[in-house]
Amino acid sequence: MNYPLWVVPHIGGTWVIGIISIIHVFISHFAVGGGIFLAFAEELAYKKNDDRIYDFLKQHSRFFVLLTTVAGAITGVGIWFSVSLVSPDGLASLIQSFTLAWAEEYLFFVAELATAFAYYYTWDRISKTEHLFLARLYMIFSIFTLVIINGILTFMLTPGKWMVNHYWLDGVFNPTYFPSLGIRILIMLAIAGMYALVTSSRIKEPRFRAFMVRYCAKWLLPVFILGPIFMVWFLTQIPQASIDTIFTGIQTSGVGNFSVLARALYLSMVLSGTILLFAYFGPYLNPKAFTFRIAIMFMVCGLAVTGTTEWMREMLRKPYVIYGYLYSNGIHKDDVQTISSQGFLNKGKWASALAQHANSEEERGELIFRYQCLACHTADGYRSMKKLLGARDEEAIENFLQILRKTDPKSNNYTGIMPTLAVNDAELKSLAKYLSTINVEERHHAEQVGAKPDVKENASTVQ
Amino acid sequence: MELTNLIPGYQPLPFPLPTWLMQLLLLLGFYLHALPMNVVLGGGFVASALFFFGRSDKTSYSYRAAKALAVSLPLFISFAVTQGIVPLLFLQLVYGPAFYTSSILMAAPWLGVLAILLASYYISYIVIYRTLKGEYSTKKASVAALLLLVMSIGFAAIGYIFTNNMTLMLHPEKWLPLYQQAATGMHMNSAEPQLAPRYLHTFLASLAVTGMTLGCFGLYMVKRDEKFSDWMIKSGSRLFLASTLLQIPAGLWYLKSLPPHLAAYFLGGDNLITTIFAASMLLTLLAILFSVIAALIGSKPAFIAALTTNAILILTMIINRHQLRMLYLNPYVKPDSVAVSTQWDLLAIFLVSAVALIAYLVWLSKLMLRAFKKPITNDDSTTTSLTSTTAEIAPST
Repeated sequence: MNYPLWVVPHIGGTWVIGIISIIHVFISHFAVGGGIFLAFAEELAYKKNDDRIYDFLKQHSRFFVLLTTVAGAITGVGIWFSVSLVSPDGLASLIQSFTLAWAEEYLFFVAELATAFAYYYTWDRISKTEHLFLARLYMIFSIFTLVIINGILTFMLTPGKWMVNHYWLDGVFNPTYFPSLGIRILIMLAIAGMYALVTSSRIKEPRFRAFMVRYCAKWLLPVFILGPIFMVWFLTQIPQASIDTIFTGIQTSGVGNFSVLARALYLSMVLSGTILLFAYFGPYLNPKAFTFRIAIMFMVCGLAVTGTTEWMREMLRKPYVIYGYLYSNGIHKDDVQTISSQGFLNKGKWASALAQHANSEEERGELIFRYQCLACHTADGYRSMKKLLGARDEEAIENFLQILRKTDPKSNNYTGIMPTLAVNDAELKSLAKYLSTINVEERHHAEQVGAKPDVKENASTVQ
Repeated sequence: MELTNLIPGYQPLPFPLPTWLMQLLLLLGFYLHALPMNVVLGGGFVASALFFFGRSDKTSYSYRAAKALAVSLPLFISFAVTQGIVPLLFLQLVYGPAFYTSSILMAAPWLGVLAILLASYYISYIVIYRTLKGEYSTKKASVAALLLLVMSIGFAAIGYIFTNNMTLMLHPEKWLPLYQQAATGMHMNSAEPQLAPRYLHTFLASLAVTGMTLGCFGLYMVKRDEKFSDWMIKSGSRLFLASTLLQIPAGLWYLKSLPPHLAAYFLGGDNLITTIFAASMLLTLLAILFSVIAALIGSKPAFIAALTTNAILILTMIINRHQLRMLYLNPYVKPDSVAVSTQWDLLAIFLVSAVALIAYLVWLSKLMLRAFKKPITNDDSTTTSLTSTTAEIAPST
């Protein structure tokens, strides 16, 4: 409400961030996990004094450098760009609190990049001991970038004691910091193994290919053994409302229905299980039969798991950007009461400036929709309001909005996943009026087939 | 409507650093970003032209200089991107209310920067790993020239988008009408009077910095191939000289494009601003003088003097650029109004780490220099192209 709101038709701003983030996570996890892989694999080459492993690593490191320093770095900046466009209040809050943490991460990032280039360009130009040293340095620097950024990422879900004292250290080392760090490192090792399987599958000599394929497959195993332990630890640290969101979704969504989050969780688990079984029975037990195509299949599954899991992590934080502090639509939780009594369109800088030019009730309603709903919904695309509103008429919509306005979870089932609607009475009517213009077709269709919209039933199924 | 009513507020949280320190880090960060960024922008065009002119002879100085420049480009791109983090971070922190707003208004082209950057960055690698791989041919050199031109147009477009955003953030009076026209973030600031001269000013600077970079390559080559080194220093200085002379009318145009009341600050209206502006004029004259000597006789001390003068000159211009931003935004964006709660502990960690990083980079550079002085120990096809290129720019003809 402080800023002009970027309207992204059909997919919504969240997916702009989502698409860039998923690609970045898959590459950046490789940058860290791959660094650990290179250091360990080079140590193996060093101990065995095996030139074939060295040759493999030279090939693999080119792929590594080209992917992580270019696509990894740029998609990283991309997340930043996209968040600043979609959620400027959220990003500004994070930056005002953690600028120096980011600056510290930047130092490690510079060291990481410089070492990656030095490592890559000095093959055969410095002694093997020195080169191994560079590989280890790269590993350490890249882990440190994770150590810092993990603090900011987990802070958003569990700000912990920061909520009371606003002290950066409490924000960084928050309740989910360590379990999340553990999970991420394990996932990074698995992703590093998957990428290395791709390069290993291209090795021409069969016996050496089998050796390397088997070695890489082992990197996929730790996450499946230790992952569940860290995951349980993680789940014990997140807010109860988030757990409820996973397993029950909206409480009244109907017995026997999985919430969409539970479905994502199960999909992530099934895909991970598939990768584990394939890794064990495929490259681990039968490395000779391993091919480039199978390696690519692993990558696709890996990307799917990463996408699903990161999406789930984002969903767990709903309806907040910073849990319990700032809603995903940029409204501070503590401001909701004031806004509800004084009105939304008098509060935010841009919202009120735009409201002065709104000539009708619908236009005022559209502004509220834009500022309070577009962070997660679109009119007719992703989480389409047209679809969700069904055939409700204005009165039914108004009744439903009255529920969303309540702060007590007993009277508003949506408090766990949707921000409280922060409007005064007149604004609520304007919003209802605007929303009723979105689903005209649906209403018309319902009238034609003679269906009668049931307000109560409909209200409970909007998600 | 009062424009101040359109300026988004800061978050209800204190700043982690005193404002002056944030401004200082913003300036310093931008300086470290501007140097490699200029080489990337100008270097691509220059490398493309050199490949084109030297395409029929791989022993020609043009071809060898083009190759040296092309091979180093990915590293410069990487530095430019990495060093961009600091100024972006502090720009958001100090001038976020203006910067976030203008970015949202031009969200689509602003995000387009990423796609263009990704494509141009990969083209820079394609040139050295695919196009120039293996035996030399005229065709390969021509393809390299063409690809580098495409890449450079990409970087030039990125610069143009940045100039749009950096000027749009200075004009709150334009924001609301633009947003009311369309909320989908498709705007640019193309009607801005200072856009063209400001962009031209930066573009010419990038050619000048590329000239200095070529000269630096010449200094590096001096022991291996004196004639080539001399050619690089002379050509680099000429490029610097030509673009800096063109900078004089371009700079005047830029100054004239500013609103008169703001231009006045640079012409005696404010002591500090005028002093820095005068210093930059003086440094320009000095740089021209030194580069004339270097361009004519290939004198290394004169080139080093031009290089040093230019390094300080860029800093003064960056300070002036920052002051201009402050002049524009002072009535609207007031970072001084935000409470400060300095995170001393984290600041101390940051400063210690920064010193450690510098020490580490010095050590790493020494290691690299030593590595590249020695002949390669294992002649392997997978060895990187930086190694092959140092060998290729090195041979005497």
